[in-house]
Amino acid sequence: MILLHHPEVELSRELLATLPEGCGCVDWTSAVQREEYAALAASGNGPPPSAFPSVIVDVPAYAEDRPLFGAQGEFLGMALVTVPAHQEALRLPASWDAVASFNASVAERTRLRPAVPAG
Amino acid sequence: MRLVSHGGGGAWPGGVRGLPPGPLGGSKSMFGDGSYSGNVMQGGSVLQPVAGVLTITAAATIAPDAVTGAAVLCCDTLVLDGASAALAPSTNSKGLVIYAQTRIQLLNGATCHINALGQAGNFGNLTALDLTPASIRRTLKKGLADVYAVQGEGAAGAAGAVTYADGNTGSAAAAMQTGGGGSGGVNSNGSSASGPGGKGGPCCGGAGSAACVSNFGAYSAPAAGDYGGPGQNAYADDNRIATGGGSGDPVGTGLYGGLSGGGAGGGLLMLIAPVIAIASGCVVSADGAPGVVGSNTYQTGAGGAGGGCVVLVASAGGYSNAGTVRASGGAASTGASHKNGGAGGAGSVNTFTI
Repeated sequence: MILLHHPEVELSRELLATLPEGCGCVDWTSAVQREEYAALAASGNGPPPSAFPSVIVDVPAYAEDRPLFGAQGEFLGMALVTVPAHQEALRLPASWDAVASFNASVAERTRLRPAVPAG
Repeated sequence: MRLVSHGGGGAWPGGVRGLPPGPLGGSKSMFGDGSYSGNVMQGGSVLQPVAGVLTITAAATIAPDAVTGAAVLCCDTLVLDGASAALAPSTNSKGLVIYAQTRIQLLNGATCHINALGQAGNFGNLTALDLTPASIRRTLKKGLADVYAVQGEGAAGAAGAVTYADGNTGSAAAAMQTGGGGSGGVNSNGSSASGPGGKGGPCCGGAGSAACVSNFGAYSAPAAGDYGGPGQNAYADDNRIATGGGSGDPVGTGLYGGLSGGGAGGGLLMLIAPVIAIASGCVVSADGAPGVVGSNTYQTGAGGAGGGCVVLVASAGGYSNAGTVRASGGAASTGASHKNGGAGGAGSVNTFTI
C-alpha cells in the first residue's frame, strides 16, 4: 500500500500519523516523490490521484459477469471474464480500518469468484 | 503656487509613502488598502463589516465582476465562523480572489470554496491582477498580485474507456495548474469507446466525458472539451440503460434516466493576506464536480471534472493551517450496475510566503 499524502489536508495528516507498518508514503508536495510516483503511474502501476489522501491498494484478479448482445442488440446471456490484478486508488478513506475493510472485501471477492483459468 | 506631491511620503496621515489612505484609514499594500468592496451577499443583503471585520456566519456569495469575470473581495479582515459559514462565488466564474489587508481567518468548521464553479475557457496564464477589477486594482501596491500566475493549460484528461470498462481518472495537476477530467464508463458489445476527458484550463478543472452505451457496432463518443468544458452529452443506443452526461462547463446531458453532469470543474481560488489562519475542521477548496449515473436499473456512469487550483499568499510566518486546503478532482460515479465513470484528476494547492 502507498499513502498519497498532502500535508495541507487534515485527514491526510491524520492518516500519516497512524501509517501502518509496511505502507509507503508519497508526499505530493515533494517534486521528487511526485515525479517518482508519476513514472509509476505512467507505466500503469499506479493510478493517478484524484484527491488527497488516497491509498493505493493491490486488487487481486477476479471473475466478473459481462453481458453479451447480438447484432441487433438482443441480450444473449452473460459471459464470465477475468478482471486482471491491478491497483486502485482509494479516495479519501476515513481511516485505516476503512482501507483494511476494502482489502478484506476484494480478497473475499477473489475467493468467491476466482479468475477464470486461461484456455 | 506650490504643487503638492502625493509621492513623497507623509502627505496623507495614515498613508504609506504619501499614498492616500483608503476609506477605512488604511493604505495601499500588496494586500489591498483594507477598504471593503461591498459585494458579499449573506441572507439576501450586502454584508457590512464591523470595525473593519467582515464576519460571515452563513452561506454567502460574491457575484463575478462584469469586466474580469471573477468574484473578487477586498476587505481589512475576513472571518468565516461556524459550520454554516460558507463563502463562494454566486455562479461559475473565472476565480474567487480575496484580498485582506490584515487577515483571513476560518473558524469552527467554516468553508471557503469554488467547488464545481469554474469557468471554462482558454484564457492563457492568469494572475490575480488579471482577475481584479480596476476599482480594487487601484488599492494594490505593485509587486504581488501580478507575480503568481496559474498556468493557462491544465493537466491532461483521461483516456477514454473501451468495450466494457470503467472510465479512467484524469491526470493530476502540476504546480499552479488545474486537474484533468475523467472519462466516462463504456458499456459496449463491440469496440466502442467513451470519449477522453478534457484538459483543464486556468479557471476550471478539465471536463469529464460522458458515459457511452453502444450495442450496435463500434462507436467513438466525442471527447470532453478542453480548458474546462463542455462535458459531452451521453450516448446510448439502448434505451434500457440510464447513461450519465459528463461534468464540465457546461455539463453534458444524460439519457434514458441518466443524470446530466454534476457541475463544472473546480475553479481558481486565491487568498491573499498577510495572515491566513485555518482552524481544524475548516476547509478551503476548489473541488471538481463528481461523475453521475442515473436512476434507472441499468446504469453507466460519466466522468468527473478535474480539481481546480488554490493559491494562498501570506507574509512569512503568517500562514497556519490546522484544517484542510484542497483541490480534489470530482469523484468517480459509483453504484452503476454496468460501468462507472472515472474521477477527475486532482488539482493543485500552492502556498507562498512573502
